[in-house]
Amino acid sequence: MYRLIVKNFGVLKDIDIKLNKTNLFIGENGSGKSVLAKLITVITNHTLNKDEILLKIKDFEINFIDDKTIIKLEENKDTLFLFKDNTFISFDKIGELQKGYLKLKPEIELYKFINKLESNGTVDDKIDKLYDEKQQNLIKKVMSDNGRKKALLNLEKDYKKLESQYIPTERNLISLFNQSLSNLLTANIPLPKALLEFSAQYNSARNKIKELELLNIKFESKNGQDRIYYNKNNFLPLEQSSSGIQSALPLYLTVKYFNNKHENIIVEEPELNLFPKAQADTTKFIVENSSNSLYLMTHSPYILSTLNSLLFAYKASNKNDILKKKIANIIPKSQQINPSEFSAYLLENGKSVNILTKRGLIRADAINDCSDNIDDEFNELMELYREFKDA
Amino acid sequence: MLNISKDCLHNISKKEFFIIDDENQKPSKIVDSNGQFKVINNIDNNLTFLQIDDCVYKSKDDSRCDCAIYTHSIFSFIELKTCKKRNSKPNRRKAEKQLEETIVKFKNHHLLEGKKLEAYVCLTCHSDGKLIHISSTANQDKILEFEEDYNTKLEYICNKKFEV
Repeated sequence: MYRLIVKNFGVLKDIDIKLNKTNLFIGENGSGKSVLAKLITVITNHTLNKDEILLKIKDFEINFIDDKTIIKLEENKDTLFLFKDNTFISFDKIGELQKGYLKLKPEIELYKFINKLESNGTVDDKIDKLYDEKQQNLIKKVMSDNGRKKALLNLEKDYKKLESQYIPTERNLISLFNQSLSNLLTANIPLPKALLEFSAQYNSARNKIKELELLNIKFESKNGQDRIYYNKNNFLPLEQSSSGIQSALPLYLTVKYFNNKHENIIVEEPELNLFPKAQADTTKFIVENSSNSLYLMTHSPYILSTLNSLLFAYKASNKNDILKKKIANIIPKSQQINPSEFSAYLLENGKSVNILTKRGLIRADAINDCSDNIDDEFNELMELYREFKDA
Repeated sequence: MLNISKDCLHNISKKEFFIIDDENQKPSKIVDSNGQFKVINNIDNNLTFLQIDDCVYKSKDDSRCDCAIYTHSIFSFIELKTCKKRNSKPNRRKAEKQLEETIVKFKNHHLLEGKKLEAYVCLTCHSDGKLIHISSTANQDKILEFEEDYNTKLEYICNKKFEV
């Protein structure tokens, strides 16, 4: 398990959190959820070197580094990296990992190239025409070692898993953004790099996942168009469908596509534009499709309640076999969350407050208090109405 | 050992009634209308109403709930909270605490033997001479805590229906 310490990074003054398999962050607007989401995306991506980390922080528009900033990531008390006094004090463990990969990268690229040649017909004919005898012998020697080829290609897959997938709130703009992208680029309009990056990731996902059923609709990618079928025969293009679907589809597709590809999935506001029941269904989908680490940043009491159900389902299922069987009919095992693999924090006044109770549920007071305040306001209006309605 | 005076126990034959708790006229009482907590009795037997605050316990500390109502099979602890001023939020957390502490004090008492335990947090406000119920977001963790630690079903409502 990782431990992340952040001090004096913009609105984040004193953060000390455990990064678990499933992680929840709540807090009012401006409490730093988005800054933390982006920072986690950068620092849990172990394929980035020191320069790339700083560059990515700029790309994400969270360049809040000053002389007092401290960012420390620990894994089982070992420091993976420490950024302090405007410099990387420690980066050895990640650096070694990257060096090891970079050393093998030329060989991996060669295998990938050979794979490409093999998929396009006879390799021997092509290398005879393209390469001299010495190069041909080298390629043939490499080709004959199938064990190494498999091992190195798997290594690359594992290395790529160390990247992180960030799913921003701006995902609801993707359908319009993709349509106008070429015009925007031609007009030299400066575009946020994070959005451009997510747009490319969304396109990778939709090129692979051609069909998906979600929230009572069916998505189909056909002839370069994203179609939303509301019934068997009638569809609307994504950009003309409801705001909820425009927010949800990029989320569903990227979560499903990057689930086994990336170690960390960071989702901002899963609830965006969605009806309460759709928020619950979306939470369950994300949890079910996140086999690695998941980070959720939310304002929604419905998401908290849903997560509490998934946590309680796991806890109760482990009491006995009767409960296990009966609970699986309501919450399938694949959606249940083990409380010992779950962290939950409230971001408040620049600090992180643990909101997971000893019973393994989310202490919902923080959001309940908001609901109470709203109720208070209604009750006050009702009192005034009763008192003065006949005045 | 907890001693319960017979003065605090009342046999109720009515099929529908209310419980009211007024800070100035303790302990809580049974009334026919305009109470805070409504009880409907659809079973053949009478119910027993137990005044806890200012009857079973006379001291002035805040560590007990207002009352309880029970049959041979169900025992329901009740805490009534009323806000007096506009905008003053009834203290839900305080009510939960009072119920917890009362359950602990009643633990092992023969009155609870073989009964299913329940606890009610009932929040109301005075408005224009009337009482209105305040909706409250259920605290899932508290509900689980009552279940695990006290084997008690916790509810945030102002009524109880006894069914066959």
